[in-house]
Parts: sequence; structure tokens; C-alpha cells
Amino acid sequence: MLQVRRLVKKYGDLVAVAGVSFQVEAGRIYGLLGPNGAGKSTTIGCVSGLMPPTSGSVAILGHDVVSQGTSAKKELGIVPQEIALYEDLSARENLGYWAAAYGLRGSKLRERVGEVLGLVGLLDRGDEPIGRFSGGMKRRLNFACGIVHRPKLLLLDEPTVGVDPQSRFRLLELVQEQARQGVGVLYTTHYMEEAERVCHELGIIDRGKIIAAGTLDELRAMLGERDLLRLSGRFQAETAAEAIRGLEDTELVQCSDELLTIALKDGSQRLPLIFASLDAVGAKIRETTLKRPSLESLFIKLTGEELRE
Amino acid sequence: MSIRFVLVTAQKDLRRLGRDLRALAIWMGIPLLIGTLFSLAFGNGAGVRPKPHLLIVDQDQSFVSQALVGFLGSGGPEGFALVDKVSFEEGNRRIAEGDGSALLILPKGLGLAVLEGSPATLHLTTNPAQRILPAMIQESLEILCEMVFYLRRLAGDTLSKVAGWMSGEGGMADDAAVAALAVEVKRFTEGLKPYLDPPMMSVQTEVETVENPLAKGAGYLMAPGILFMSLLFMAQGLAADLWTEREEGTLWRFLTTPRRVGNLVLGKTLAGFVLMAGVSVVALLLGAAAFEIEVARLPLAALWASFSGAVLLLLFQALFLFASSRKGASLLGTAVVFPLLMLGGSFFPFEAMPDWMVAAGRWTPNGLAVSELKAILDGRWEMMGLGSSFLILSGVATVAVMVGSWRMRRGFLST
Repeated sequence: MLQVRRLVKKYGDLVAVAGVSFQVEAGRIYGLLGPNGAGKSTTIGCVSGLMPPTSGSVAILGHDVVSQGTSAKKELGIVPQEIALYEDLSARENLGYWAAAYGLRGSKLRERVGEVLGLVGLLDRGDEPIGRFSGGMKRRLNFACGIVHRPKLLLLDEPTVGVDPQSRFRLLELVQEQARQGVGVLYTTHYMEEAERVCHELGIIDRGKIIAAGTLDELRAMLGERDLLRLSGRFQAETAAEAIRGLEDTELVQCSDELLTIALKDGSQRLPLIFASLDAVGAKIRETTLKRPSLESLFIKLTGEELRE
Repeated sequence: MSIRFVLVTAQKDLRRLGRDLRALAIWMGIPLLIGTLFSLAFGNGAGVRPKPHLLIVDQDQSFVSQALVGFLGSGGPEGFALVDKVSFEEGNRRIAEGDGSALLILPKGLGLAVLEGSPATLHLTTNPAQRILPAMIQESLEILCEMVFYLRRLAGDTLSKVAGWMSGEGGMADDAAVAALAVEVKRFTEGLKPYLDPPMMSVQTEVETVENPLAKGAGYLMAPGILFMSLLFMAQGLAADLWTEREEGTLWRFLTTPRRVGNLVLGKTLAGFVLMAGVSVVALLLGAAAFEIEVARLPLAALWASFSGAVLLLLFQALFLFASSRKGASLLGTAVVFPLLMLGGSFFPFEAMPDWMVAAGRWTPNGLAVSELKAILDGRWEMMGLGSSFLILSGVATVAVMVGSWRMRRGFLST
């Protein structure tokens, strides 16, 4: 459904996307997970045809986005990160306009608009100017505008940013419902728990590159079911590293004079041993954080950094 | 390009504009407000044509001087000039106070000098506060002097005889002499008759159907420019909606649809056209009532004004897309609008502008449009002229659509 091959996007000397490849199948949700500035929105921009790639290719249902843009865009629905609605029109008028932009008209348009309003729970508020809507209602309408024309591929660019928990829950349900109906979904987010909950496959992107990809189980396996232990304090980096490397089933992820990140099995059981080893080389520990295996710990393992907002 | 979707876009924008009542009121109000102010300042322009006001001191009191006064004041209220016979003191006082266009002193002995053919001097004092009306009086007096010169060439002996009787030097005229003079005058006039009746030189008069716009006054000359002032402000305001669409994210969303960006540009322009047509119709109807413009000319005038306004909107849209922010676009618009208003005949009518400025102003988009609108309202438009202007503005519009569409696809969103 969506094929992205060796996608590169440069702005002068800055490389925003550096050779990203992935594909999204019908009825599957592909999550692009990464911190802000990792290249997710640029990738979405290239996939939606807004930004011409510097090199590489993007094809939607076999239509190249650059050379067959009109055909490719017909199959595409987009839910942008920012709310993109006409504030002085009603929900029904907004949906009607975007449906017409994809060629719907007459009774089919009216029926579909009503259907989508019901789907996002706004049927009774459809004729009100959306200036009166809450943020969560606008988010739901924003989503509705992306699916009103029944796209085969749906791009969601951080659709739950700034959304209250109730609306977020509803939005995630709607995304899953679209996938159940056979729509291929590309979902970008920097919320790990969201990605874990809705995505069938994931690509972890950082600094313009996909650094890990696969199903959730495959990614967890990469971490080897190991906990992630972060210690902050004052260390002699080299001696502390030596002390940790001497321990069994322990992997040093990151080491500096102020921070140590260690991947290890049964972390809580082995904390006393770790503390004793570091104490022996004169390390002063101020704070300890132990994380269970998750996408976030995988991200830290892969990049040596926490997922930044 | 989908005409249906252009119409859908125009409908959407008209809905949005219709809900912004404040902007609508301002756009409708600008021409009405400015038009009212100009009417108060200059009158509605359809008033009485100004006439020279001539003060005459007749020191001669001869039949020649009285004939001269009668000639200058002939025709009553519809005549060439308003004539007041005054004393020497009153005449000097009133002209010093600026009451009158000129003071003419007919000196003692004028009548005799005319009959004898001796030199005589007329004293004309003009009002320096007026320029055209005193000049009209001066021209008229010069023509009168020429007439007297030719009269003396043709009937000098007869006039000299009459002068001799009047001065007493030729003795008293007896009945026979008077009868002989009457016969002489009769022969003289009969001699002139072949030349005067019918005249040797026939003058064919063609009454032009075109009205003289100057006769309708300053308000009429200003009105088309004022309408375009309003249309320029509207174009500037409507063009800023592209920045609103960018800020609301709807432009971003539009660019991800399969529709060509030209659909959006033309839809917005069509909405602007409809709005401008509304403003133009109201303004032109009011103008027609104030300046007695033929109602039959209004449809073409409204169509032309709306079309030209839409071209201005396209120009502003293209211009605003190159600004780096909404504020920058606003400043850019202001920097362009005021020179266009100045040159394009909105602040001052072309008729009151220096030639070089008119030459430059008529080539601005709004100046070209104002010129043609005036021609339509005056009934002197020609298919060739209007067609050429239409093609020029259409060319400008096409370039603006192309530049605007290119800019929207390339760089505007990432500015």
C-alpha cells in the first residue's frame, strides 16, 4: 500500500531524513516512533507530496507521489499534527468541503458527512461553528476530515498531542477501527505507550534514520528482555566502566563522569551487586532509575539517550 | 482545473466572509464614507456652472457704452456673465474684497472715440483669487475690440459723421441729413446682407452625445477613484486570507488533496469577485443617483469594476505569498496600496494630476481600470480600448495565478 524506499530529504547542508525505507500494508498500523526533530514530520511531508524528496521514492498503491501525485493523493487521508480546520465554519461545512476536495458530491457527500460525524461523536454538534468546540472535539473533527473520503492509506502525524485522556482513548480506538476496515495507517508519535498500544509494526527513527524496525515482539527481543538501569552521580568513567564490564549478563550502554546506563537481566535482584562494584571504585551514586523492558528502554539502548520531547 | 470545485471553494469562502460582518461593514462603508466626505467638500458636482461676475463702472454713459454693458450682460441668468453696474468707489471696494471676477471701467469719451476711430483705453482689474473666470472676461473684451475695429473699417465714414454731430463739430443734423444717414445705414446693412444672411461661411454643428465629465464637477471625477480605493482595500484584506489559511493549517491540508492549487486561488478570487460586485453595484447605484448617470451604463460598469477588483486581489495574493509573516504581508500591502491609490486616480482624479503622473498612473492596474470605468460611465468607451484593457488585466491576472500557485507549492508553507 505504501512503499518508502531510501528516502532522503535535505535542506541545504541539513539532512532531515537520511535514507529511510519502510512499507505499510493494508489493514496494518505502522508506527514511526521517535523524538521531536527525528524526521517523522519530514517523512510525512514527503509521503503526502508536500515536500519533494531529495532522493529515493514514495509510492502509494503503486503511484509515485512525485510523478503521479494526483493519483497517489486520491488514496491518501491525512490527520495533521496541528488542527487544520476552518474556525468560522461548522463541523458539517468543514467535512463537506474536504469531502468535495476528494470528489464526493450530492447525496453521497451528505450521507458520508453524517456518517463520519456520528463516528467521531459530533452528530448533535454538526451545525455549530467549531469556534465553540473544545480542543478534544476539534481533534476528533480533525481526524474526521482525514477519513471523510474513505482513504485507503491514512497518515496520522502525532494526532494526540495536547489531547485530554478521554479524547486520546477515543482517537486511538478510531485509528484501530480504520485498520480493521482495511485501511493502511502510518502513525507517527513520540508517545511510547501509544505506539505499543496501536501499532502492528514499528520503525524507531532518530536523526533522520530508522535505527530499528519490526513488530513489537521483534523489537522487545532486540532488548533481550533486559531491564535498563540508569545511575546518575559522580564517576570516574573509565574505572566505572571497567567495574561494570566485569559483571556477568551486563551491558554498558552509556558511560560518562555523571551518568551510567546499563542493560541487565533481573535488574532489581542485582542492584546490590552493582552498587558494591561501583562503590569499590569510588563512585558516588545520587539517583537510580530502573526501567522494565519497553520501547523507551529500547530507544535508550539504541541511541544512548532518552526519548526527548 | 475543476470548475465545480472552484465554485465549492468560492461558496466556502463566501460563507466564511459572510460570518465576518465587521469586515463586510467596513468594506461596504469605505466608499460610502469617502464619497460622503467628498460630496460635503466639493458638492455633488451636478450644480450650476460657474459664471464670471463682472463689475462695470460706466463713466461715459453714452449709447455706445450702454450698448457694451447690455452686450456683456445679455442673456439674463443663462448669459455669458453676471453684470453689476457700480460706481467707481463701490467697484474698487468690491474687487479689493474679492467680490467679483473683474472690474471694467468704461472711461468718459469712449463712445465718441469708437465713432471717430480715435484710441480709447478700457481698464480691466481682475480678481487674483480667480484664474479662469477673469480670463474669460478678458478674452471676451478682446473679441469685442476686434469687432469694433472691423466695424470702423466697413462703416468708418458714417460713424465719423455721427461723431461730428454728437460733438457739435459737424454742425446740427437736420432732417435731410438724418434721412440721408438712415438711407446710408440701410444700404450698408443691405450690402452686408449677402455675407451675413445666409452666412458665407456655414457652420455645421455636431452635437456630441458624449457628456462633458468636467461639467459634472469634482465629485463625479472622484467617484470612480473612490470606488477603486474601496476595491483596493478589499483586495488587500481578502488576500490576507491566504495567511489565515496557512495559520489555521487548512492550506497545508489542501495541498495534500489531489486538487491543483489553482482551484484554491481561483475559488478565493471568485468569492472576492462576488463580494466586490456587491460593493460596486451599491456604490454605482448611489453614484448614478448623485451624478445623473444613465442606469443602462451601470451593468457594464459594475462588471468591469468587479473584474478589475478581482485582478487586484490576485496581485495582492501573489505578493503576500512572498512575505515572511502575516505582519510582513500587511506592511507590504500597505507599502503598495498607497502609491497605487496616489497614482491610480483614487486620491486625486486624473484631471487634476500633472501630465507625467497621469501617464504613469494610467499604467498601474487600478489606474487603467479607473480610466476605463470613467469612459464607461461617461458613455465614451470603445470596444477596442476596453478590450485592450481587459486583455492587459487578464494577462496580469494569469501571471499572478501562476506565480501564486508556484509559490504556494514551493516554499510558502515553510517560510
